[in-house]
Amino acid sequence: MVIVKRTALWAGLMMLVLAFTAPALAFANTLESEAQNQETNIFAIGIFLAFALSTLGITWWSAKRTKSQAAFYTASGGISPIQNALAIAGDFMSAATLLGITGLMFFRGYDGYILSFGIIVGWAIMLMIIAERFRNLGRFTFVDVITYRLEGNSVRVLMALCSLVVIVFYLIGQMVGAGKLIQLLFGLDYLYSIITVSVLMVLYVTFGGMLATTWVQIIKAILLLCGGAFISFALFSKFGFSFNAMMEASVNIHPKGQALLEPGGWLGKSWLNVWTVGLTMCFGIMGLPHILMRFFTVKNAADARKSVAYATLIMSVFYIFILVIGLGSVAIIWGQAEFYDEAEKLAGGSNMVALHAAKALGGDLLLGFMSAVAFATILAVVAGLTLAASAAVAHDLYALVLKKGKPDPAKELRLSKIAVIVVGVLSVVLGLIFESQNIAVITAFALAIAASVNFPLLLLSMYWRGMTSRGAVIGGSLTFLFTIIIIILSDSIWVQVLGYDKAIFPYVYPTVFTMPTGFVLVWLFSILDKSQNSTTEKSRFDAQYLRSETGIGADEAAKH
Amino acid sequence: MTDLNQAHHLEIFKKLVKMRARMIWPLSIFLLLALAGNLYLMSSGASLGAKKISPDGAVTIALAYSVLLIFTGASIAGFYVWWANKKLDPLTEEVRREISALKGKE
Repeated sequence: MVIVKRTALWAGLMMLVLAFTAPALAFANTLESEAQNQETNIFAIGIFLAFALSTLGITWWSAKRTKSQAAFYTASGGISPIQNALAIAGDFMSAATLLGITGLMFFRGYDGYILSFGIIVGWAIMLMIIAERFRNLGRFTFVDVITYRLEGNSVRVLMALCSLVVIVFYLIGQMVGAGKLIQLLFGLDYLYSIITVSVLMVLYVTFGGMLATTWVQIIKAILLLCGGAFISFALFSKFGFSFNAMMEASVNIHPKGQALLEPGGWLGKSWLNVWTVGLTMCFGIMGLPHILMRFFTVKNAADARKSVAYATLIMSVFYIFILVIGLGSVAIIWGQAEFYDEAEKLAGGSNMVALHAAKALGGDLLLGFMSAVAFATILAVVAGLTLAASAAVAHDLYALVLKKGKPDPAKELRLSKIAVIVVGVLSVVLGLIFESQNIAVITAFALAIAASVNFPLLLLSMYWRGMTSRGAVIGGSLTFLFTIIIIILSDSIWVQVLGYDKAIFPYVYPTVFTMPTGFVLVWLFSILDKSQNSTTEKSRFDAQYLRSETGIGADEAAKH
Repeated sequence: MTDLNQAHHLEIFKKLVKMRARMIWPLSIFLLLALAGNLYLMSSGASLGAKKISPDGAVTIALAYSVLLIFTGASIAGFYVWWANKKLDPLTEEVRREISALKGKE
């Protein structure tokens, strides 16, 4: 009863904040419409409100079905493969993808596409070597999988912290991006923007758990696919459905000319630059806790495999849309006065390309639709991140470490909801602190840790008998430190924050160095480990291997 | 439990492991090499990547390669899930049956 009362109290508080922010939206609209380049679009607000109301309805419906930890973390494994595929794809069809990659390609040309094809290759590989085994070995989080046969708490604490670091940095990137985007699209003040995002995300997750979080993502993924398909189709139709004609038109108008379609516009043909970005994209996704967690929302390994395969197909289609929008919109937007401000810069900045294309092709209605979808996209992604953070705290740290795997279920569930609210508050505070920082770097940091620490540990724990707890802890921590040191020495911190003249590490992503380091260090400290524990851990490998291949024992574990 | 610990020595389990491994590792390595090819076209091989695929168009080799790479990744994902549903799942079911029979004897 206490929980019910408390959650009701929180719900009341949240509603109050929401009620406070909604009029602010209208107020800011009248106040700032003159100051903003982007006039607030009535369709955008209408469509967004419809989205917010329907997703809150789903949350209310999900709340009745979310009474246990299994329901809260994984929707009790009751999501179908197609639904899960849309949700997984939705996590990648983010605002950063839709707006960021198209903007990058619009200005810098072909090189920006590396952010798309690296991910598709990564997903296809993840499907084959990770998805099924992962589903068979864990219950709620990726820490379950890595520590399946490992002894001791230190490895669980380390992996939970790595999860949290990745999630929090990813979340900061999303919040800052969200605040700026909503400010621009809806004319809402930055602070109110991030508060609105935070309140909605906390509502979805606390009450609806994984079920609501998944449905929010599914609805948004469908909306985004429809929007992307419509823009691409309309663009294509302008050039008689000839890709070549569209590219020629873009090349003719862009100051880069033919170089728009040639390599080198962004990464300068430097092999280290290209490889480090390519590897980060390909392997970073395999260490993202909020993505991996979705593999547990289906009933078994075969369904996890289907979800990942369908998700890969959906993303591939979407990335083709991205290519068409990124390069094709040059032909219809570049140099058109209505999309430029007085300083002859693209109105609203480089992230606005996809939205300008929407306006050019479908008027205010399509612009409104795409703006609302961009907002929805951020909400859906941050909700998934928040849920993963809550699982890391309540399941990995509290239930497994503090309570040695025997927690009081009611307490664990309550703690996970408190964690959600803490993350909600924290996201606003961090959003404010990082408001003027370069968010690309913050996200790069998250992906670099994921690719350099989480991914090697995950792969080795599944496939290599010799990995021991001590090897994982020492190797993992050293790689973590090494990655942070390299990031500090790179341009974004060393030059832009600390004010030195020249960066010691000249590339954005450290992955090309840190990922191999991760593998080598974990291997090295594992083979040096001659302890009693290490013998026990290695002896458990056969049973783990049997379970990872066949799923024997996994069904019972998931039912808990 | 002793039987379950010995289950990984079962012939049928070894067959399952082998069948999966023979599919996933070559395909994964192929995809990584294909990705490496694209990274090559963007860096050391950029002059090759910048060539047009046909003289009357604007599309470059690098761009066409990337689209093909996405298509390949999607096709392999589609192929693998088709193959695994058809071949791997029945065999896995058989392994599970055999192992539960082992447990039954105990």
